[in-house]
Amino acid sequence: MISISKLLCGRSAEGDGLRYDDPDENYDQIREEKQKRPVVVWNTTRRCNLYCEHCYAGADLDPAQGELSTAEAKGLIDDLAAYDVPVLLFSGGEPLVREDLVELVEYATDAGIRAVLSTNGTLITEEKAAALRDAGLSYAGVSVDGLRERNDRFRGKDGAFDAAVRGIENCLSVGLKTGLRYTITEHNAADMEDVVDLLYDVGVDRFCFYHLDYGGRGGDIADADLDDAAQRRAVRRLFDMTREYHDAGEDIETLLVGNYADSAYVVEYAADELGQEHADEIHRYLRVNGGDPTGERVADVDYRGDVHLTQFWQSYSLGNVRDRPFGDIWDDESNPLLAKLREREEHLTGKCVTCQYQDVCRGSSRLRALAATGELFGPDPQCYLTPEERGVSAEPAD
Amino acid sequence: MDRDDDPRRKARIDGSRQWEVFYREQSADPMRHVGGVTAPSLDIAVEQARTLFGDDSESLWLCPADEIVRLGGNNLRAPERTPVDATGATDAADPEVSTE
Repeated sequence: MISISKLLCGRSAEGDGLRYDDPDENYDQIREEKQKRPVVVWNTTRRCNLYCEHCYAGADLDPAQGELSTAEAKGLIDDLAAYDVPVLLFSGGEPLVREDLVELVEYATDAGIRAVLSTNGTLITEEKAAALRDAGLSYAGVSVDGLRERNDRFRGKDGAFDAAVRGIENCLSVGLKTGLRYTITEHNAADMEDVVDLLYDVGVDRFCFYHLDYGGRGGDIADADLDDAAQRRAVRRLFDMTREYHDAGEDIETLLVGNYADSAYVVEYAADELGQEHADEIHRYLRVNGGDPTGERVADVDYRGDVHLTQFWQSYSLGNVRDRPFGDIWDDESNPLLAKLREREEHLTGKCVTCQYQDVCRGSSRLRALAATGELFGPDPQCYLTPEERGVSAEPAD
Repeated sequence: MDRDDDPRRKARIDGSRQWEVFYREQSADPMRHVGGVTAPSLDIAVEQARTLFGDDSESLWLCPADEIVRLGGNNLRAPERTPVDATGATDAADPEVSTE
């Protein structure tokens, strides 16, 4: 997670953004020490009231077998607290279809874990928002993927856009910090700016943009991913838009997730627009805790208790929390895949080998590389950096 | 728990199946569980496992997760937390019981 607003707009030494989806202003975003424990995404359920084209969890309208019960979920939270997990992101499916969500948010908060929510927003009444706030929820990230018509088509349900905006308004009306989650594809890249303008008028001031990852149904629509030129345009437009808002005195927070070529591109952008000193400072900050967090700073536990390297990579699990505590699974580097991912710099191939930004990108998504090339340590197909930006004069032979 | 009720043995609803993967790098090593892959068929599961572990492995075994009988494991059922009153004192008679 790269906090663009904080890197480009003067709040670069404080904030929160490297904590996955955690907007706590009191937490250092760009810290001098590497994050030691992962933020955990928990897919609380596989059920969802929508059917989104890009759903990495492959969520469905029907209930699934083997979901963690309330008692088991509390046991999981205790395991995570014992392991000093800083943030638990309640996700899904749609977490609000779980009747015990408020109870579990409160349980996590009482255990000392910061609770945040990823939701489609359509089920958030004002009463539910107040209950979640009272339970200690720190933040709700609501997914909207385009203006009304495009979003509803993408999400498989007419009225989803209006219901999500109502959910956002309900959160804001009870004082619950709320932000946008937006997955960029070629279908909705043109709507980004209008969605930001619309939701800013509603009261949202945090906007989180995800690049498409190729897990679950996201893998089925990989051909809807942006090409290199469109990626650059979308990301650069976000940089410009962030500065325009801030120049107008409107202190929005913007973040990019999922393609760590963006880390390099923000340094290049800063060098062109803000000067080399500012760019060097951003580069230095990103070195400390930047780059793809898979298997290190982000973990996922699915609705059945399977532990994944990231929430997008559901087709491989490290183990199950019904067999072993989360920390034992996460620390077990006798698993050669986990060990290799944690020293991935030694295994990257192709253009990543000589890239001058490898230290802030770390090869970006291994899942996309695997899906696109069949090579676990091959180049991420979403890398849009030019040879000049990567610091080489010509492409190496792959 | 009755073995047939073990949620770790339940099939996924999307038609895919989970396969536990076991790996050995050298013939003198023990087979080691290295997680599981989810795939719509055995062929695809084998392909996934080979892609993730094949380069270094002397042996790879795959077993359907729903065929494994698991005894023991991590008891996730959390004990009830003891309520804390306004002074921070607990109702617990046993001072060893932590409220956190």
